[in-house]
Amino acid sequence: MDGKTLAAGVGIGSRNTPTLINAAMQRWFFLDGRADSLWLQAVSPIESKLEMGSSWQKVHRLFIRDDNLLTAYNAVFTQTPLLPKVPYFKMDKNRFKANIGKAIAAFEMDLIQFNSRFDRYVHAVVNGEDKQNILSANELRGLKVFIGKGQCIQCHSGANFSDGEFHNIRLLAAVNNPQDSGRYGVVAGLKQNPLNTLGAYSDDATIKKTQYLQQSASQWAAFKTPTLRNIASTAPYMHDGSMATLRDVIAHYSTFANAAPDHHKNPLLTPLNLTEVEMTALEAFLQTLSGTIALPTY
Amino acid sequence: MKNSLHSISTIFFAVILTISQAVHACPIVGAADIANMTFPKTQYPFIESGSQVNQFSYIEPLGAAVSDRARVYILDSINSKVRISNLEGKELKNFGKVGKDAGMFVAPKGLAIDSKEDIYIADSGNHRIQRFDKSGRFIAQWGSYGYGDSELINPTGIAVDTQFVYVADTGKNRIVVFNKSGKFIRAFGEYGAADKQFNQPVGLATDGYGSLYVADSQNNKIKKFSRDGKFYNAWGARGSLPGQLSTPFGLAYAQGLLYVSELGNHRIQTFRAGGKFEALFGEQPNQINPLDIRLHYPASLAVSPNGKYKVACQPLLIRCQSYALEATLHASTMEDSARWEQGVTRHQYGSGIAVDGDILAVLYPEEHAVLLFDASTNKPRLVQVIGGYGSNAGRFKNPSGVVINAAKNLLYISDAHNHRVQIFSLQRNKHNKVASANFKLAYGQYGSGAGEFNEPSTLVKRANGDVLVMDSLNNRVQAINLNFDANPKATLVNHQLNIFSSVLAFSASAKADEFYWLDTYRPKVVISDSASVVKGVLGARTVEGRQRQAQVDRLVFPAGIAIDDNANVYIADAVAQKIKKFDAGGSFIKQWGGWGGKLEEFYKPKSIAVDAQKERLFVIDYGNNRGQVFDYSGTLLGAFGIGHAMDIAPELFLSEVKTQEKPES
Repeated sequence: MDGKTLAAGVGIGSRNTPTLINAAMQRWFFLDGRADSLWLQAVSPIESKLEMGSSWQKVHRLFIRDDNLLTAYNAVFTQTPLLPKVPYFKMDKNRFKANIGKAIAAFEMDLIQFNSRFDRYVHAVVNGEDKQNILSANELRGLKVFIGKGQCIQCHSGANFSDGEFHNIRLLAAVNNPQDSGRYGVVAGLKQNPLNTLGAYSDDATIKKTQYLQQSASQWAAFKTPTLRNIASTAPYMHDGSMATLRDVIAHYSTFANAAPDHHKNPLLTPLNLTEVEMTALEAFLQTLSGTIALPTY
Repeated sequence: MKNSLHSISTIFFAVILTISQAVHACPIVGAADIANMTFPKTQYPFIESGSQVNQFSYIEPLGAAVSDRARVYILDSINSKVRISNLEGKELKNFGKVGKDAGMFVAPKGLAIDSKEDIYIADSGNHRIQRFDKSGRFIAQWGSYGYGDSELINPTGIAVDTQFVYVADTGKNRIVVFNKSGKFIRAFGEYGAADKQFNQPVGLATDGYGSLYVADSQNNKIKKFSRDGKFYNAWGARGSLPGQLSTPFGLAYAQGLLYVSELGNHRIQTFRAGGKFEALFGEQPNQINPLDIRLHYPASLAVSPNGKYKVACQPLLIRCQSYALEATLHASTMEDSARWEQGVTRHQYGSGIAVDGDILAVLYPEEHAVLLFDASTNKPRLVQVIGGYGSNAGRFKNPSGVVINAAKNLLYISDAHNHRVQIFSLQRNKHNKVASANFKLAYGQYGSGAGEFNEPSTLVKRANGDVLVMDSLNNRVQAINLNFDANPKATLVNHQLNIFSSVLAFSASAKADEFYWLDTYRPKVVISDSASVVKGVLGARTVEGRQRQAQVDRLVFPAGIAIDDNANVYIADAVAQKIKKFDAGGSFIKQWGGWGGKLEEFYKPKSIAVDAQKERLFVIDYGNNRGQVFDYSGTLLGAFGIGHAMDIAPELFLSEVKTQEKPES
């Protein structure tokens, strides 16, 4: 996480950078889900003009010229090795992209966090161990709000605190930046992408999620439910980075005071009307989801 | 908002374009008057115009076009006339009348002009296209009812470029291309939701470079094709955010911008040729535009080819508005629908109502739903909102008719643009009051075979439990029996009456086994027996000339009909703003109502139902967003629901109207 409102690479993107923590556990990738595998996500930033601004030909040159990289590549991808004598324009470029993406994805799979205080609390509860003093009374109150009145768990569910799906949460971005239709705008492109899970470069053709994916009106301005792990350290929040603190986010759901108009009412998105005490407790609970990542040595 | 206000100052004039049928002078507002204008005093400016209300009472502006030289062409659908005026609404010429001959119209819905200002009319009720020159001289006509290639069913949208005439053949969900003399060139599209399919294609626009834009109204998309029918792209999805669409209806293209008027969102959006969202008018519903050029169900839209002049027509408000802006329409209109939600029930009532015993059901078109009430008192209590937009079981696309069988606890709803009838079972609580409705089954699908429908609308219950379904674009009535047999016999084909294209509704008299056809556009009620033999006519114009205004039994725009157990007939006239009562023999008995927002007044009453048990009449006062309850003699018993613009305190709608507070009738 870069801590910036909008992603900054070579240029400034239109969205906030999502966390890589537990990214491997997601079902769709990018905030709009325009990639259906972890490795497909890793492919596009390389040549995005706003992110790395590079080209695949440059990456190819890098691998050809660096013996260590070339050896490592060919040691992993024995079926589809990189042959220095084949010029870039003659090779299967999609295969090269997919392989690089898969290598990056393999690294991302190690960025896993399951050691927060909340995990310890759950472990204690499940195993009937002493659960005192793991979470404070205030944090436990927050947990109650999380699964109760706050209805957070409706979307932030499961071990990764995300249902992996896409929701329009009435952010003003839908009004101020109407060109970004979120999930709705990328469905057709993903289904046509030759690098998707249905394509020739997929390692598991049994994954049918993209085949059954359909564009629908409810995807408009919908963005992926992010994980809440380490949420306290991934400010600012929301896909457009429009909220600086967790408190702002909670206040948004509590009142929808500065929300986009909702002409056709979505019953889930009615103001929660949380009290001050409840908001403080919920914020305290969210802090307990932070943990550390132990990177393996390669 | 600051920018918007700035844009307003760039308006060099904006006028309310009112086109009168009579010779009354039209209100003309020039630039100098803008500073002195005080808008809005009322939501419905014309209600308050008192003695001059009838001045506007005919117009149902549906099609519109405007030329580079600021000549405005408006199609007055109710009156079957084309009206040519200037931007201020001063009428230069009009032509047309109701009928089947060349140069006559029945319920026409689309108008387009070409570069020579020849006028092309989608004569929907006659299922044909007519072409006129700019002064209204008839040139040609083509098309007739049918499912054949060059035949049309209820054509509505029309657009013209240098070579071709493009017609939205709405009843067959396809686009037909003709040359300018009416020769069939090709057709493309079919019913469905995919790229090359349509559900109620309505507005069309051409860009002059061979591309055609289609407002696919029930799929809530704009679709772009080549003139050969090659699909380019589609955009939009149902919703109210910028870039989303709700029943896109009118289209216009000029100077690289596509203008889309949306009935469901009460606004206009513009898009670039490729579909990129450009702007919308009315994104901040909180603030009222000082020029009161809000849009309310904008049905049609015209932009002159040079992009300078714009006209938007709103049939509900009986007005067209013209704009001449230096820039774009941006900020010149305001979406105002949010204020409808300030009412007590927060619901608008549509043109469909049914009552049986203590159960009342009212169509709620804005949300594609049906409202279920307990009507055991005269202040109906909302029990459930049934449905919502969609094509799954229990959801609707434009619910268009409703009937209740209280004895069998069944509720039938015509689901017009899913082309089916949905049946719900009603549950009662321990006090025997209606408590809920649950989906039971969906009957029928799109098509013209037995048990299939093309825009089912009015439903009528017979004594034996059969429910008659007006299968409007198949020109027939089909019956659903209590066993829901899949292949009903087409009970009434009615070629003999030959009025279907003009009929908005019908009813049946249980006593005399007679059918009452509301021949809305002609306008009269035709009474026939079950063999379609005409037995009589009600409400037809019999007095001509100036004195016809004094003919009290005459109908102007009959929109709803109900028959009580004594075979008395009640007709809601949406233009006369009255309920008219006739006896079983067809003699006029009395009328009540009048144009206004007070109790016992109406603004476009569109539907009426009889509660035979308690001898009550339920009238949907459509334009006032409410219902009113009367006894059989027209005495007010109560009212329910409230929109805005009411001069009555909301409390009155929460308690029964006290007798002493009623105005003198």
